[in-house]
Amino acid sequence: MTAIAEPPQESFRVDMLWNDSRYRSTFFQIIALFTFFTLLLLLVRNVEANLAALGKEFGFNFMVNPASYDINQQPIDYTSRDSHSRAAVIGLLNTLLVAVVGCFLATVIGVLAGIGRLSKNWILRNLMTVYIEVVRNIPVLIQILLVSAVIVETMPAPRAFRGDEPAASMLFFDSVAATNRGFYFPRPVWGDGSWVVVVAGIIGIIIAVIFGRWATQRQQATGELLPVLPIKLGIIFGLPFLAFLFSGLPIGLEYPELSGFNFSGGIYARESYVALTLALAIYTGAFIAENVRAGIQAVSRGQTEASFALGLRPSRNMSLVILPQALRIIIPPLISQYLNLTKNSSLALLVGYMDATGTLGGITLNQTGREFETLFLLMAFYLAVSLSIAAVMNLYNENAKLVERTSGTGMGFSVLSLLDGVGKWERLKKGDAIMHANYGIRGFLNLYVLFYAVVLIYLLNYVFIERITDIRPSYFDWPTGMQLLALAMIATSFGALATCIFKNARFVDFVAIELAVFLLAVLFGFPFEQLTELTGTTELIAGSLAIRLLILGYTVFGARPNLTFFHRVRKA
Amino acid sequence: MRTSVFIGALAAAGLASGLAGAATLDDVKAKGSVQCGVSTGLAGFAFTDDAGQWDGFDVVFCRALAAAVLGDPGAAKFTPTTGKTRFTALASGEVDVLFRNTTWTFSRDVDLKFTFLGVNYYDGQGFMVPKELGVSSAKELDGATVCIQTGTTTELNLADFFRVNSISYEPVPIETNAEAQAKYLAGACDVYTTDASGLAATRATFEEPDAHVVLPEIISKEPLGPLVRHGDSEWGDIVRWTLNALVIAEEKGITASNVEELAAAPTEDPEINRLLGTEGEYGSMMGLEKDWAVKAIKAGGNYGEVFDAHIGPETPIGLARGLNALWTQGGILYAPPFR
Repeated sequence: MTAIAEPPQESFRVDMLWNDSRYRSTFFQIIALFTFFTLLLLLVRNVEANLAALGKEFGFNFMVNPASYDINQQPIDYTSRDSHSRAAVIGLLNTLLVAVVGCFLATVIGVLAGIGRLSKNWILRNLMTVYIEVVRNIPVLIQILLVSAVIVETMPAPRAFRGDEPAASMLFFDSVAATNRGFYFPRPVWGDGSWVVVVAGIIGIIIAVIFGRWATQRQQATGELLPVLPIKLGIIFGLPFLAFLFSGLPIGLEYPELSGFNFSGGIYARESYVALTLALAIYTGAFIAENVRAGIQAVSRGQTEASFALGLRPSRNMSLVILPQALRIIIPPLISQYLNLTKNSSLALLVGYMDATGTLGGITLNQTGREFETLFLLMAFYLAVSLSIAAVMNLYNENAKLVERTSGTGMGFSVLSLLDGVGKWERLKKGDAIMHANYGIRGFLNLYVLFYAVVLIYLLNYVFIERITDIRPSYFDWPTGMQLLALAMIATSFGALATCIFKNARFVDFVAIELAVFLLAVLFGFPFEQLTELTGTTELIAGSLAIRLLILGYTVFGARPNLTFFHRVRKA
Repeated sequence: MRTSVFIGALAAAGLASGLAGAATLDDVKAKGSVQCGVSTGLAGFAFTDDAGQWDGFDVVFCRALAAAVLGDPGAAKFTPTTGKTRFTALASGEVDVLFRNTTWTFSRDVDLKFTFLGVNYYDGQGFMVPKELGVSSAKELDGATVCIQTGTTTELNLADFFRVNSISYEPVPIETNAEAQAKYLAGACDVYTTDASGLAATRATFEEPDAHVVLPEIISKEPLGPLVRHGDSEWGDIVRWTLNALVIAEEKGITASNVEELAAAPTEDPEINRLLGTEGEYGSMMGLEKDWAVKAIKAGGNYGEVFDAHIGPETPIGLARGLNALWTQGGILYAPPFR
């Protein structure tokens, strides 16, 4: 009884660790963490011991040895005497080629099928349902093999085109050859004076952009609509076409021709590439179609009725009312579909397509026997690609999603907060936001994109693509610090590029970090002079530093920022 | 929960890999079977017959090994492996020995840490083309599309051959022999290249074998033989001497039918006696029974019998002995003396 009368004791007993709810969760989490790291350590030790028992060492030196095998599809020059790392880069580029084209095709197929599923037309609606249900429920592996088998078995072999009465003939006025080894298309040949056409094209794009801004301003001022898209297309394609006619047809076409065993000339889309990309696009398209359908159906019917009541035509109802709201729902699952497609592209070897899994994770692994190293690199590559896709799409999602008063909070630290009260960065309220199409900073982000794209391309080209023996040691032979620095430069310039493309307010941070990394690189003597042969080292460093400072300076002190864009990141 | 399952899987994987590398002979005796890595299907060399039983040149060597070690040719089990998966299967301990048309090369021996135990077939890389193309030499293959099995030495030889001769070609990498066959027959490639024995075996399965020719060029040396993991010399010795025993048996005229008779009592020839266990304790030196070689030879006959039964001139494959004849008969097949 006396014990109850005593004041509660604060003394700590061991059994409170598992009996007292204040300590229990922490205690068990610590135990779990400890166990996890013990097991991890055990695993690493085990790998070490087994590698040592096999007499193998962990290292990437083999990547600089000659690969000694040939690769059929080469986006960049390659011979069998090039190194394993160059072969790996070829594989990576081939993977990206499938991923980019596949994602694009899948989106087109998915959007069409998704809208088709909501059609009032009974046949179309049910056809799309059948397509989606059949394709979604069959393993993608089988579909890839099926598409490949259809091309290989049903299309004529090149030798069928030979002879006086060939069994097969080319399509579209003898310009396209469809064989069971792939498809050959005519290729444009740039003759003398074709620069006129290119310049006309660039001028056309600039005029189209200016016209677009003028049309938007006019629409905002007067409410009058112009047929913007047809006029823009007319300018962009019409101008170069006129230039093409008047400068004496400088661009010709190279048609594929049967010579020897195969067609030669023209653009060659290999059977393996076509089969893989098509199968992946059809498969992923079915999933995207369901996302699109769900997104559109999730927008309340009342929205359509309201917009019709306001007098909007069905097409404008779709583009101005339904899609902006549907996109918010469609984009997040779309990201994971893009990631799926990219990862599924590793099934390429089934149809003989040399992607990263085929070169680095296939032949290189097999001929060198370095399972750990090659799979490690391969995982790093797929991780980097997937995270990049996710990052880019998240930025896009950021743009499309609903803007709320609190959207700007919770973003954590930003360089912007250092600039409070500097220049034009006075605190704004939500009500201050005024729509000015392409006015102020927002338009200039398009120019920033150019700069960071150039930086990124030069860096990637120098670090991974450029022929190794000619100008520099292989990336795998660099000192660790320099390797990390190069990766950091690539990552930050990619971040700056992506945020600028999608007009994300985070771009200021990436621009600042990129500048810091660039200065670090200059400090540690990154060989900038090898990046380009156009200018000297000093000019290059000074010039690009000046551009970076200009970008940062204009962002901070420049013209009035576009408020609908920037108010998001201001604290509410 | 998910985390704990993951950790469990990791730990299991770690433990499993930790077990590999024990003495293979003890493992084999304990589990009562020899696990052989063979091809996924190559007529004459390793294939499953109508009854679903593995058969073929490589398979019989494996059965002979099982008979030598465990006394029962039926104790051999087979794991089909592709050119890509074979080395991982062997290194990880999934199979005890590879009998899979594997070329003995420096880097496989030294860098991949395997031990090659001899050569059971001397081969070389060749090209097969449809007759209607009218090609008579590999040097005329400029611009051709070539099907190759990926993960093999043929891939590397091919690259070197075409580069040295400044001929362009379009490689189509393929995982298994069956897929390559399908693509080649559909005309998706002009040329199929692999070891000459493999070409003959593949051609034998075609509906019209005569519509295809194997070009005269042999562009590489491909000594094919069994291999085991580094670091277990006892097991390596057993595989090596089983192979040698079959070769010596042919040399000495020991066949599947007369081996019992010869082993019943010591003969005039001491080497036969040593081999068949009627003299000395050679079997127990390797940890095997006295009559290990008798059982090995009984499994499928001597080297010549195995060759003739599966890939010789009388079979649809129709390979001549050529280099694979005994050294006494103009070939280079030569086993070290058994003493």
